[in-house]
Amino acid sequence: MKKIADSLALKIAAVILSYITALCLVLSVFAVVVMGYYKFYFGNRENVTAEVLGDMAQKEAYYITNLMYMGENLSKYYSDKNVYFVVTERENGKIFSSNYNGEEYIASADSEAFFTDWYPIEELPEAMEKYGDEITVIGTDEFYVEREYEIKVYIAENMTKNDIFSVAVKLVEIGFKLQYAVIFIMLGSLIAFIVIMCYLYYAAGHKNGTIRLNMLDKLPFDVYAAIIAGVAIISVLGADIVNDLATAIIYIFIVGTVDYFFALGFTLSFATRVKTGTVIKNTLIYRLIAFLGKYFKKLFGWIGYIISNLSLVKKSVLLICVGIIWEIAMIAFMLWMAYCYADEAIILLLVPINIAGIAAVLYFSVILQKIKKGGERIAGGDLQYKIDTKYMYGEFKDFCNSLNNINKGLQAAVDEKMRSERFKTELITNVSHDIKTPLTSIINYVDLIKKENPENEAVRQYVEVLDRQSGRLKKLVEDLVEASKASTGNLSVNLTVCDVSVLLGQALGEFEEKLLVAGVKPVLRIPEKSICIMADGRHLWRVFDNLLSNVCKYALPGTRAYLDVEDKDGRVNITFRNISRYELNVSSDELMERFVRGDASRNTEGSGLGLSIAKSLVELQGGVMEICVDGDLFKATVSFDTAVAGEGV
Amino acid sequence: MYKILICDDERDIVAALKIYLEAEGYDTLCAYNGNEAVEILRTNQVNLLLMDIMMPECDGITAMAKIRDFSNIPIILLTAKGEDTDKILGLNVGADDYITKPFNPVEVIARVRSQLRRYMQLGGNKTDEKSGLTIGNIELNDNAKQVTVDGESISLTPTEFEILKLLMQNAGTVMSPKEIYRRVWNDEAYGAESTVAVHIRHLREKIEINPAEPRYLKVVWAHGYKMEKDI
Repeated sequence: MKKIADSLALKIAAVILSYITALCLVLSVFAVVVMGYYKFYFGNRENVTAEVLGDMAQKEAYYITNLMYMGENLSKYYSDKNVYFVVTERENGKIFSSNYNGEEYIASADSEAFFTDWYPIEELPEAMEKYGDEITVIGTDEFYVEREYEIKVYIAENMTKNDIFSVAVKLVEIGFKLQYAVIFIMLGSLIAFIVIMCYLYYAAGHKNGTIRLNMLDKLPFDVYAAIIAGVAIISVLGADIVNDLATAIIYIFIVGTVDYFFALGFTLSFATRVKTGTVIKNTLIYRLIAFLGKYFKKLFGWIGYIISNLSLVKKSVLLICVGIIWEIAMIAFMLWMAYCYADEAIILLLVPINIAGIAAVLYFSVILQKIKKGGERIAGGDLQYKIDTKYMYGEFKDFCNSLNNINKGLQAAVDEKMRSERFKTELITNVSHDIKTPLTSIINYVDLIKKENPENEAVRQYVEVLDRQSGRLKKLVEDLVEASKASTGNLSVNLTVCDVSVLLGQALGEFEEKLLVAGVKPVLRIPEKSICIMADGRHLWRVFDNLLSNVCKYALPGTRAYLDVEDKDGRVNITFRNISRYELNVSSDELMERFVRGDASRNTEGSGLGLSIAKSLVELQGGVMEICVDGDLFKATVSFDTAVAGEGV
Repeated sequence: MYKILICDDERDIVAALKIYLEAEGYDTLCAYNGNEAVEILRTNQVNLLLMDIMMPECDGITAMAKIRDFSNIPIILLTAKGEDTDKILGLNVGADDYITKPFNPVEVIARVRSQLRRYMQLGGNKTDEKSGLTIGNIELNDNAKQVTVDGESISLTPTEFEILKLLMQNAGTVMSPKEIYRRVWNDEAYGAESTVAVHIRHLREKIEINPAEPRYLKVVWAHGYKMEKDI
């Protein structure tokens, strides 16, 4: 296909062939139309011949009329034609010219003509004799005579002379023979023409395997179109030089051929331009617009650059200046209009600028509202929040984008923190698992040694130490996992309505004996009515468990530990108070840190994680835990919002 | 004599458990991963399996799934993970009990004994006696005022007996300390929550193998106490 499209010889041949087929097409279509008009396909030959010759006779009659107007000698024109005619003056029946001698005729036609002959008044007497009443006298120096003629034209049946009529008869004869062949020629040439044109449009522009623009294709399209239009106009105007049939045919043939090639070249160029997409671009108008556009863009670019580099305040001042100038101009215009027309309705001209002002204020307030809301959400910790900048422009958009980006940075930092916390928890869980396995062996074999009942008293003491310390290690590992889970919130929390007094009762029941052993007397002070909070019973028990363990471990024996519950202003405060056995030389904040313990020597059992775990668990359930150290008085307060009893379980 | 298969990748732990169990008079077999345990169970008559979860080659959960295809012997899982989800997974796949590492040898022995008694003597589907209440391995005979756990009689104070009876009669429901006090002491409770709690703790120490992780008598913190219904 490419080769066919590229071949220059083939293209030239196609152009020539297209011309030939186009010619055939035009001629055959013309022939078919003419034959159709004269009913070649419906009548017999005699009728068609008569019809054709009738039309010709009619034309001849008009021609004779023209000749008469011009005062020509009629017989001179008709000496060598198969035509006869009779010209009769209507009024007088006078035959002016005739060479009709009663021969058989095949066709005839009538025509009428009116003549007005002007004469000087001196010839009136002669004319009176000749024309009688038909004389009309104008003034005193001239008169005219009006005459009406009837012209009859006959065409001889036996054509003895060689003229246009005999040719017409022969043409009709040929036409009848070829009447169907012409249709086939028409259709055939039509198909051939379409095929050739398709090929030409397909091949247009193809050269050496690619599509290229030739010289003509580089001509601006609108200029090209104007040239073609000029050629068409010249062709039509040039038809003035034609005054007979022969030159008409020659003119149509030559001009048609030239125009055909112009049009073909134009359409082929159009096809090439469509293929390369240069129809619009390669026009003078487009180039002109593009040329001007470049400068306009530059101009606006400069203005935009200057404005965008002004500070917000200067921008506002500029805007206000423009507004004031506009307002002054409008007022001046209005005053002038009022002066000219004295019409108060002119004041309506102020409406548009006021509407624009109100719209601007509304727009600004809506955007400020949006920014305010977004800022509040972000400040409140909703880092996913994005301010919608869809309808914002300029400074507002920049500002909101900055806010949204702050957001992004914060989100990234928080995500990073969360990930590292989760990683830490995972690490602690895995490490503690790896510690637990050898620890199991240690505990079991220490136990086995104990069961062997070693006789050496020293060995027995050493084993006792091993037993105690491995037990501590076990507790430490368990607390460590719990502390890391609680502090990262890696626990499921199932909040229900919990009765604080019931839980405290249960907890004290669990610790009864341990407190007895520690020599601490618990004093529980609970209000009469039940006090409920929203909490997870299991986690809250763990909090109380840890606090009560601390009481057992660190309270001075022989003292009392006070457990108070009070419902104050919608908050439930649960307070644990006891006197410390050791001197509390650490601050309350430090006590809640991991691994910090009340006894600096760290002799007693405990991991130092109890308070930290308790605090984390309380916070997970939405409560607050505070620790207060006042001399030797240790005070821990857990507080929650009061819940309505009867909700939940 | 009962034969117990011990399966753990830590050889020291297997050896220690072997010493404890043989001291109690059980025969023992040892395996060091899940596949070995499955093989031994296919070829030997074994009464109970003690198995670790985290093991190389074939872990405890996978091995247990294979074992449950052909055997319904009691399986006790030993796990260092201690996560609630792991326990639930183990029990769902077919374990009868679990012990978290580091474990107390006494607890291991007690649980082994409990499972063996239930499996070998009670047969697991013994019909209830009309005069008594039975939940799991606990039987309460109201007429004889006697309670047995795993077939062994335990001595309870009258108050503890009444509390246990009340909870077993209402198995599956949570009873508040006030309610328990009212029904057992036949008196209104005024700040008597810790009294009930103390009794319940004593009761738990008597009927549970590990009172800190009760199987029967559960504490529902801040609400009350409950006897498990289906064990």
